[in-house]
Amino acid sequence: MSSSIRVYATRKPVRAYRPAAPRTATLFMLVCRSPKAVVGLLILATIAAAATMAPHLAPYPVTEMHPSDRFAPPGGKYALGTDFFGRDLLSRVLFGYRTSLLVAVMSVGFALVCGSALGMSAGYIGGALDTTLMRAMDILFAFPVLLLAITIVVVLGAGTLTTVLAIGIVYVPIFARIARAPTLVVREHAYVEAARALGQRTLRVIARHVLPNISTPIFVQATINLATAILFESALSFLGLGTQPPYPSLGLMVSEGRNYIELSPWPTVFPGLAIVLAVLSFNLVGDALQEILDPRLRQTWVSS
Amino acid sequence: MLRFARNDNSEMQRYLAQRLLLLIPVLFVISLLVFSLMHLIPGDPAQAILGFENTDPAQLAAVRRDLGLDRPVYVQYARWLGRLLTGNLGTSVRTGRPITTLVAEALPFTIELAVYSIALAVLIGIPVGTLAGTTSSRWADAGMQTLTLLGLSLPAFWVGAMFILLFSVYLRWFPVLTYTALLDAPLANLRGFFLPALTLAIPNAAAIARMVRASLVSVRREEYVKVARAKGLSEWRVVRAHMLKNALIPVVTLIGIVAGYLLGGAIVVEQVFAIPGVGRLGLQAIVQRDYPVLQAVVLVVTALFVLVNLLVDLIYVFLDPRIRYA
Repeated sequence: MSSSIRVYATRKPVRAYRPAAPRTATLFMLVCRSPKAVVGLLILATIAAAATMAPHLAPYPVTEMHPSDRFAPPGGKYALGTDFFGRDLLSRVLFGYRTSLLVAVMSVGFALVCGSALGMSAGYIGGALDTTLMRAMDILFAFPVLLLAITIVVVLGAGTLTTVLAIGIVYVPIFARIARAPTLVVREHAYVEAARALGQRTLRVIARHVLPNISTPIFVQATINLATAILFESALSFLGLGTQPPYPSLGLMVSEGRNYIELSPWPTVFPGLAIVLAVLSFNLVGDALQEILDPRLRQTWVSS
Repeated sequence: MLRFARNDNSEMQRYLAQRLLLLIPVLFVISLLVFSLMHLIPGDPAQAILGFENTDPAQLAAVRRDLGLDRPVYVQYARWLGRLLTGNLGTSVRTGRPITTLVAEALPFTIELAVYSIALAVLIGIPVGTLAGTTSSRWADAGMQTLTLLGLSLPAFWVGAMFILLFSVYLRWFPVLTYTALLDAPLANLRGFFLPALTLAIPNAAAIARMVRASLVSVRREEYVKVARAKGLSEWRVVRAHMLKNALIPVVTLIGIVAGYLLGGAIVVEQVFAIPGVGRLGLQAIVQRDYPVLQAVVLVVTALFVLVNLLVDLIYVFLDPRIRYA
């Protein structure tokens, strides 16, 4: 009895209440127990490390041509062989991973920040703002994703940064919806009302009390979208609308290799396998997280 | 199910009318957005038509007048929209042909590709999902789960290239890049479209299989399934008549979502297999800076996407009358 009075007396801030999300330590244990998550994380860690260390690991400079070694098969001097210009495929795949991961992380980061902010504001403040924002999101949703991204790229001009923006914008409505729904629930909880009653500003209530309680689904969605963002980036590059040559991008490598596929399949095979490996590991982790955090949550998987 | 639908007939009709009316503002906003986006593209369309070496201001002004580019933007939009409503999508600045004809020639290829690949996705996805959802072997389930996850991780353009390499170049089972009209030679056509349709179907088959499995797992312990077993029905009958029937309702929605996305995914597959569909038309328009064509493609595909989604919503309500027309 007395302790509760003391809380009021010292105006100790109301602690954010986390109903469903397991604590970090528990979550870590659960992840360790899921073979899918462990395998996925191990592959991801390897890929991320290789991409970061690419300048040190790559046996040859990415754009260096070896005219006498065109279409070298895998093994020997070049671990994965060479392409039409005699460029080392391993080096190009390593640098291609850099582009893929960079674009994926930046675009999903952009969508996560903008989308969650929009979704939480819409859900928390409600009224006309909610209606306007969510109708705008509906309109964005009305476009097929790849087509919308292509249109944005055409307007802004092809390039790596444009790819980030295009994918980011396409993903914003997804995060807005994911953030809005639980915000509507959390808004009505007693601890949010208490925080409001204590005179906390809207922004502070959202950041301190709403955000921590809705972060789980956003987190899971981000993992899944990292997987699709890699596919997305490679598709745009494949169509010639993403990263521009001579910079290596996995999609662009498949596109270039395809023209000589009857002469040598390796320049097409390896970059594609590299994409599959990265996307699969993100999907493994995302799938495991979904099972751990909310077995009832059913994600509609749509690849681009 | 039909009994429910009949009871709710007037409500259903009202819902249908409401949804159809709602289409008008949605399509209007989409047209506005597409028009504005195309106007944001840097560069002068008149200059693009004349060629960049021609800088005669008089000729440039003449072309601009012809295209109506000298009028205010809202007038341009109104004229474009007016023509649109009469089915006139404008003229290609590269070939001079009416865009409506170009789209009408390309659209059947894209639609066939989409329908074919949905059929394949359903034919592969539902059996795989049913096996995974009803097997008592944890390993078989885990194996199929991993396989479907792999299916979701494959880039379509790469799978397409690998298919061409394996089946057309090495094994010579399928012809390379020849497409005949469906009605001229149905069998040759279905053969030619098999690899592109399969490429497009793989991730969707995986998504459908996962959905079917999840649905089956969730109804496995329902009372009515236990009752059906207790009645002594064969396992196959329990699965087919009692579990799948209920489990397939969310799958219908998924198939709808997938159908919409196929229209976008077709862009990549058409490019890989050189199919002269709408996606390829749009990509060529980008390369040739034929922006009226690109504008028409974006508009037509998006309108189709919206219509498919509406259709799916309606089917969903019809299948499960418990869902109120929210």
